[in-house]
Amino acid sequence: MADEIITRIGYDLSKFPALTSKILDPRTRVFDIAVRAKRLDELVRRFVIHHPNASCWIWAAGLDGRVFRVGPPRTVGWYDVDFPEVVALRPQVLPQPTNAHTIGADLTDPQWLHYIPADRPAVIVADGLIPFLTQDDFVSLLNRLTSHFPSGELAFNLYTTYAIWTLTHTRGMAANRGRRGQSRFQRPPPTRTLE
Amino acid sequence: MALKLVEEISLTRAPEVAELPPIWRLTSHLAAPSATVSRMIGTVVLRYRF
Repeated sequence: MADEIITRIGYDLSKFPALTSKILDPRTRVFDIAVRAKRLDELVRRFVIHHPNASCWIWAAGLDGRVFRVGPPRTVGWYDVDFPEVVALRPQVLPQPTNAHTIGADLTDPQWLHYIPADRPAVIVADGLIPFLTQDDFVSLLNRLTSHFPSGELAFNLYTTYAIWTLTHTRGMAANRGRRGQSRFQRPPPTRTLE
Repeated sequence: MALKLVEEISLTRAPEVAELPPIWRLTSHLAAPSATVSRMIGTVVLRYRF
């Protein structure tokens, strides 16, 4: 599906030399992204099995096809959240299941959550979102989230200090800096959450 | 309401590591026993409950 989408929108993958390099083994190039996506899919699937009336929130969804990989039952509400221009592109390249919705919003805006129903247990996935937020923005978002939903789970991937440095300094990851700007990458969130 | 960390998944311990080239497999196997080293070199997925 990803290959079809890339072909359809004509995105220039050469902006990500780390993904197109012939030097690295293809398995190495995609390992982190593919395996973390698989783990996050499993978490969502498990949550939905235990909470068939759940709502699933995919933050910074981009053109992610998680809803098709997870295959939630119709009783589950599925919400892909990203900037308005990104969610506007989704219906052009991805089919929309009847229980799946897109929400165009800036996650750092405190207002958008006010319009979101809070009557179901929620599972929230932030796959690849962390480097695009400052620590303050992320903490504020988490506080709003836990105040809004009655119960649920949140899952996200962390980045090593080296990965943050790579995102900030290498030409190969320049396309990732995007609209947030390089200054947003300066303070990685704490990675030592468990000891 | 607070977030409670319920699971930390280190990709250095993922079964899919077995499909990586030998050097990456070895690096992951060496890092896997230590949570600290795993966090330094590999992706970590955290799951919180609230």
